[in-house]
Amino acid sequence: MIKNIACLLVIVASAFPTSAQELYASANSNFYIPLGESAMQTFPVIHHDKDATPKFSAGGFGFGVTQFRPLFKKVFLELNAGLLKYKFWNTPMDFRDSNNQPLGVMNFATVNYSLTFSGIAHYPLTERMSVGVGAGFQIAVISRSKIRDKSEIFSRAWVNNNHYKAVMPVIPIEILYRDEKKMYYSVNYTQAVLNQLRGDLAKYKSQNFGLLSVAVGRRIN
Amino acid sequence: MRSFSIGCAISFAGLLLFRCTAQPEEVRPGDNILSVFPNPCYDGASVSITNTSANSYFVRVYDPEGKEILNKPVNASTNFSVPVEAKLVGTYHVLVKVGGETLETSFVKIEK
Repeated sequence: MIKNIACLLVIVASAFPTSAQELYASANSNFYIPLGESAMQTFPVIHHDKDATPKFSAGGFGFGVTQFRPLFKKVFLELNAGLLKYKFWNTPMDFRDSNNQPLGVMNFATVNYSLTFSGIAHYPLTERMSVGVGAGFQIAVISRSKIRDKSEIFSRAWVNNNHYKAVMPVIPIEILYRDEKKMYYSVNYTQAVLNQLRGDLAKYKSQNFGLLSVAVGRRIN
Repeated sequence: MRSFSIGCAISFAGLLLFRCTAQPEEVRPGDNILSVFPNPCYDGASVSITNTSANSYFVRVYDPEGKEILNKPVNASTNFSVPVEAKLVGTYHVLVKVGGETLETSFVKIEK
């Protein structure tokens, strides 16, 4: 799977015109902001739980390629392709035994991997700083939740979440700074446009999200 | 650039230290309490509603792909069984309409 994703990213990167002036490799840290489901919570960059194994767990991050090209007059276009991992605290689950006796309410994290593609039109505020808005989409690769039982009836189990849409249109807005040393820095907020749930469940329940990310890129051409 | 970096660092630090804590909800007389047991389960779970004055309720259950696998009215005096033995491993969503209120919970089927 990882090999296929890496191949796809290389193909996307190579599809960019060779006349491109600025091509960057980028990395980001991101925070999933759940909308429409009040019991869900944002996962931190690093989470510590002394009762868990391992004690430290990482939050969301991603990497990819970014290209900047002139669009018209002062406006320029930013094209992004990348692999994104985002993580959030899912709705706490009420564990019970076979006699309906409570075993405890457990907070558990859900991890989603998505391929992300976007185009953002930037308007320069200064020589190096700009703001932009655009459009894009995310392709869900896999979503998994790690269920851990405090009562230790079972130790740990990963379950796949297949109730999310495979493709999600998104609208990113961004503040970008490009320095003179071939680096860029950005703060990006991406809003999912549709109900994230699919199937019959989507008729009765709605779930949406925003992604706040801080990215850094290094020019590679 | 310096203020931009400082702003990012402050936001980052705040989220770095963030941790959620589930708060127990207050239960009042007449509140409907929905539970599913056992949770997690291997082959089936039961839906139970307590503290209700309603005679019946309506249950909808969705499998891990969001597909509706159950949709029917249930007598409130009995627990209702949801067989998932031959179904997918993962998170099942349960929506119950009782009176004018819709309750929601979920349970997990795991592999034996």
